[in-house]
Amino acid sequence: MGSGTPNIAIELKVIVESTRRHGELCGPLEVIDHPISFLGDLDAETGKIRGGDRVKGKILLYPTAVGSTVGSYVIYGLSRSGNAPVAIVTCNEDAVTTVGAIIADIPLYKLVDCSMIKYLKKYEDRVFCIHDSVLVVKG
Amino acid sequence: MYLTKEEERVLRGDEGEVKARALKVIVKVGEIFGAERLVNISHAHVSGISYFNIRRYGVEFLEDLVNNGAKFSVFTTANPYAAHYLSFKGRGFSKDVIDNQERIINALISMGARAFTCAPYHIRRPKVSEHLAWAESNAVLYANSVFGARTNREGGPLALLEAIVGKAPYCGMHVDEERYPSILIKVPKPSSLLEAAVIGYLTGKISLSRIPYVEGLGRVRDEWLKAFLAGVGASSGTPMVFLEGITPDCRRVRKDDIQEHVRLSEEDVRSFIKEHSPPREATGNRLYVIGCPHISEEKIRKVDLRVRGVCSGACDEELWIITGCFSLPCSGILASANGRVRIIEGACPIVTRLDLLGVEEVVTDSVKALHYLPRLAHVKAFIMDREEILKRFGVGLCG
Repeated sequence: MGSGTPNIAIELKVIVESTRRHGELCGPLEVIDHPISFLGDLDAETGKIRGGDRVKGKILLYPTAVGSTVGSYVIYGLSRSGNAPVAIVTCNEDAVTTVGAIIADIPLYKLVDCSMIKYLKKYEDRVFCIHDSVLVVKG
Repeated sequence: MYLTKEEERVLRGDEGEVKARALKVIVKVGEIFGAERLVNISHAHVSGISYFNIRRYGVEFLEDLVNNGAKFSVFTTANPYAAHYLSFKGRGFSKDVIDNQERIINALISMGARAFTCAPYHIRRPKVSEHLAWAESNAVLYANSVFGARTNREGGPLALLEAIVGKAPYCGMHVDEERYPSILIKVPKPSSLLEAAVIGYLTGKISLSRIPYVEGLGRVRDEWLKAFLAGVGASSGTPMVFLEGITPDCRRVRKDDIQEHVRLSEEDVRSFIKEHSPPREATGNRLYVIGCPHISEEKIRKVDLRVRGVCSGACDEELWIITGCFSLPCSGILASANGRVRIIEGACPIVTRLDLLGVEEVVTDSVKALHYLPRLAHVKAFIMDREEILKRFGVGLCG
């Protein structure tokens, strides 16, 4: 474990399980601390998210999704273009993200304590893993 | 969630991978909204049809479904597409836009879509208490509020998957207990279609996500009701309005139980119209549009395109009258007069990048169009009553 990183273990709840990946879900965090609208905020072609960086291979965290239901197709587009995150973690269960995650085959989790978003923002440079619905620092 | 034996079989993949995955999505969404079970639907209406909205990945998703043998298992209609086949002052769309929009249309037809319109209630009239899965806010509001049918405001991809399975989560507007108004809005009686549309838009602004009970609208004609409900849908997230004297569900509720009361004044309506009226002289290439939501087939047959006398407005202006593609195949342009007035089938100017055709401003009788045109079509928008627009072009439209 990197020096200065506390022993983080954050509780998640599975919304959509992956059908393919049975091993570890690991990657750096991409934390967006405001609601996102997939249609407009996320470019499926490049995988870049407004107010953040590229999401490819990362664990994407945000508080809630808003806006057009076409957003589900944007999440699907991320997968098709090879820019999918390894997992999505969000505070609110919503139809747009859920539909998108299933058709894109991206595991989706609910962050039980949403105040953790701001806290995790500080650790974006660390690699995290999701083990049995717990988000932990890779070590 | 409780699933029947048949549903479990579908989920296991006994009826193919596509149906299994579609049902998995529906079950997950149902679990999120606390549905105890699923309900069979008799009509699905799918949105997210314009290439300008769903782009390349939407096209790929639809074609992927087709390639895996997906078919709609219930009566299914789709929203209108972008007006990809139209031109304005000689300017049309690129091959990329035309080809991709055609691919979307073909994919939906091969899965079994029966029509392309934002007014699916003109094709198949829902019955009281019938369960539907409709996406498209004006249609959802019309089904729940006028016919007493049951549908949530579905998202585009979800309604598509519900069309494949023929089921929706039993929650929200499907359940009696959820169909209750929580705010009473007293509105002035409209004296034109435009006023009805504005009253709807302002009603929606007050309601937001609450279901309103609307008093004072009276028994207005169908076209006005459509304009009113389309306005509600544009400014709010509500799936239903209780219309006094119209909505079958009014029988079940007690108006006196509603705590919050709001009054909309005639002055609110007048000042909204004034604020959004067009300048006398166009500030750029101007297009007039009526038919949001789509005008019914029955009404469109009565349009009298014989131009009576000299045009009273600027004579280089153009009017599009929009109706649904109610039965396949559709011809696109149904009729045209002097190149100035065109009757257009199956398309929606709102979900079309009109700026790419060189259109700079649109004058319409629809407040829904006023709301969305700047956001989606990238043009300025103004409102004018239908009668006034028709008069400007010397066109007759009965009823």
